[in-house]
Amino acid sequence: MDIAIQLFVNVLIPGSIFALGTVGFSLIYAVTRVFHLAQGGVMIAAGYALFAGVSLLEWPAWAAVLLALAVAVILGGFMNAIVYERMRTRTIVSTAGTLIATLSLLLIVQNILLAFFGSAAKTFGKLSGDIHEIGPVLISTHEIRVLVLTPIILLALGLFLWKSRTGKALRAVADHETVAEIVGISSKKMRALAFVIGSLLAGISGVLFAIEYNLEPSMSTMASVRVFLRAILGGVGSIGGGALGSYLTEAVMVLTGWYWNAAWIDFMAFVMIMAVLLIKPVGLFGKKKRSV
Amino acid sequence: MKNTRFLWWIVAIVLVGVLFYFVSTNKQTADTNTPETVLPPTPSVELEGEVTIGAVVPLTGEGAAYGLPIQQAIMLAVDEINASTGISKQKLIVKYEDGKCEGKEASTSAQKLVNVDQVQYILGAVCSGETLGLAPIINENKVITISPSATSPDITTKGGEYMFRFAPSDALAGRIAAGYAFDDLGAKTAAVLSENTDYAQALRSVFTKAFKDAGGTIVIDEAYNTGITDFRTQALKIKNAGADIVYILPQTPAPGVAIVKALRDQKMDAPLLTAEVLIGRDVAKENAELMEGVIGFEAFYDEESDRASSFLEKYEARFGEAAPFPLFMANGYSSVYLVKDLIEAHPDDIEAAKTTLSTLEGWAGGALGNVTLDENGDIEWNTYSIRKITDGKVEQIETVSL
Repeated sequence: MDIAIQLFVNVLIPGSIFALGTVGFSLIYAVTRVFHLAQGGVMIAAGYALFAGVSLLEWPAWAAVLLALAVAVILGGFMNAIVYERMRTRTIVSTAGTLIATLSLLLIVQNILLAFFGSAAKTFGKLSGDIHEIGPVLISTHEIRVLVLTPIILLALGLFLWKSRTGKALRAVADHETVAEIVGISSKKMRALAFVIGSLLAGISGVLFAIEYNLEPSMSTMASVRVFLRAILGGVGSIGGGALGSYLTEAVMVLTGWYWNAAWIDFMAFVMIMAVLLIKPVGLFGKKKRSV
Repeated sequence: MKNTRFLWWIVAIVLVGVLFYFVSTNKQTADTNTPETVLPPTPSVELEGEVTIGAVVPLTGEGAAYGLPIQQAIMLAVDEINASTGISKQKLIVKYEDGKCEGKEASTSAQKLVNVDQVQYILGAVCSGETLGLAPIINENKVITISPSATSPDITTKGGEYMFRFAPSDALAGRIAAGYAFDDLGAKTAAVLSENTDYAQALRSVFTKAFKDAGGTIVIDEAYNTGITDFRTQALKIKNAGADIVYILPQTPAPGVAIVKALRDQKMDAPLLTAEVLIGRDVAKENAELMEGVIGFEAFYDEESDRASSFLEKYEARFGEAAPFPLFMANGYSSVYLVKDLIEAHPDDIEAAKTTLSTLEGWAGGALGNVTLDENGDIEWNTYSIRKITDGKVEQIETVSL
C-alpha cells in the first residue's frame, strides 16, 4: 500500500507538469489546427528565462517566474503572428508546410538557447525547497506546488472555456471556424488568444519542469515529442484528453520502471499509445473533425 | 488594430533588447561565438599555404557539454601554432563537424571530412559511441584519428589500425570503482543506474563483473534511455532494495544531476559513486550542495605539473572559465601538437605517420608530458585518481595505480 501511494505520487508529479503543456498544445490545435511542435521549445525557453532571472539577473523568485511566463507568451504569440498567420494568408494552409514551420521554430528556439546559455545543465537547487515526509511519501516543497497548482489551473481553464464569453468564442472557432465568423467572432483574434493561453500554459509547465528537474537546450525536442504524443493519445484538440493522456502515459512509465526495468520505459509508453490508437484512432477523447 | 500590433512590436523589441543586454553582460558560460577576454595571438611569422585537418565533436545536443570545451581547447592549440611557426610555415585549419555524440552522425561527419575536405587527420570523436561510429570510415580511407576522450574498452578491439586515443580505456576505471566500493567502503550490495550508450554500458558491465568477482551482490542493475528526466521511481526502487552504494553512469551531466537529486530527495544516504562525467568541475561548482560527497574516478592527470598548469591557465585566461574536464581538454589540445609533429615529420606519408604513432613512446607536447601508445592505439596509463566533491570542489582523495 505504501508503495502504491508513492508510485501514485510519482505519476502525478511529472504527469501534472506535462499535462499543462499538453493541454496548451491541444488548445492551440483545437482553435488553430496547427500542430504547434514548438510548444516544447516554449516550455524550455520559459525555464531558461527563469534561470536568467534567478541566476543571471538575481531577481527574486516571483519576478523571475513572471519574466518566464512573459517570455513564453511573447514567444508563442510571436510564432503565431509572424509564422503561422502569414502561412494562412499567403497560401492554402497545407498541413505539411505548417508542420515543417513548427519543427523549424522548435529547432531555432533550441539552438538559440544553446548559443545563449551553453550546453551545461542548469539547476535550481534553492527553489526546490525542503523535503517533507507525508505518510510514506517523501515530497519536496516544489513538488507540492506542482500538485496543488495544476488542478487549480486546469479547473480555471475549464471554467474559462465553458462559462465565459471569450471561452465560448474560442470553442466556437474550434468547432467550426467559418460559422463562428458568420456569427461575428473574429477567428484571427481567437487564434491569437489560443496561442497566448497555450503558451502561458507552456510557460507554467516549463517553470515547474525546470525547478523539478534541470535544463538543457536539447530538452526542447524531448519536451515537444512528449507533449505531442500525450496530446495525440488523449485526442488532439481535446483539453481533458490532453490531461488524461499525460497522466496515463506517466502511469505506464512509472509502472514499467517499478515492476520491470528502466530500459523499457519509453518502449511501453509507445506500445500503450499505439494500442489505444489502433482501437480508437482519434485518441481517447478525440472526435472526428470536419477538415475546416 | 494597427496600433496594438505596433505596440506588441515595441514591447517585444524592448524586452528582447533588455534580455540580450543582461544575458551578455552576465554570461556564465563561454561559447565559441562571443568575444573572448584575451584575443588569439597574432602570427609572428608569415604563413603560406594551408594544412587542413578535421575534428568531429558534439557541438549540439547533450554531448555539447564536452564537445564545446574540447573544441575550445583545440582552438587554443591551433591559434598558438599559427601564431608561431604554423606547420612547416603553413597555416593550420581545423574543419569542425558536429558528431552530436551519436555513432551515425559521427559517421556522416567523417564521410564529409574525408570525401569533401580530404583531410588526412581527424581529431575525435568525443563520445565512445561517436568514435565507434566513425571507425569504419576512417580505417577504410586511411585517415589517422586521435580521440581525446573516448574511453569504451570496445575501441581497443574495434577501433581499427588508424584509430588512436589519448583517454585510457574504461576497462580499468570500472574495476577500480568496484574495488574501492568493496574494499574501501565495505559495500556488499550495489545498485547501478546507467545510460543506454556505448560508454556507460561498457562501464556498467566492467563494474558489475568486477564487483561480483570480489564477492558483492548487484541488487539493481538498470539502464535508462537518453532523454529520460524523471528518476523518482528508480530512486525509490534503489532505496527499497537497500543498496550499500549506488554507481551512477550518465553520458552527460544533466541526467546524472537529476539522478542524484532524485536519490537525495528519497533521503538515500548511501555513498554515490560515478565515473568522470559527474565530477566535471563546472557540474560540481554549480551544484555544490546537491553533489556534496559524490565520489568519482578519473584518469589521473597531474594538474600541478608545468605543462598542465600552463595549459589550464591559458585556457582560463582566454575563455573566462576554468576547464570543466581538464584531462579530456588537455588531450584535445595536445593531439593538435602531435598531429603537427606527425605532419612535419611525414608530410606526405600517412603510413609512416601511422607507424610512428603506433610506436610512440614518451612523447611530450601540448599539455601532456609522457605519451606512450600501445599496438592497439591505446594510451598507456595506469594511474587513476579517486576524487570527492567537497564544497563544490573536486578534491583528490587518493591515486590508484595498477
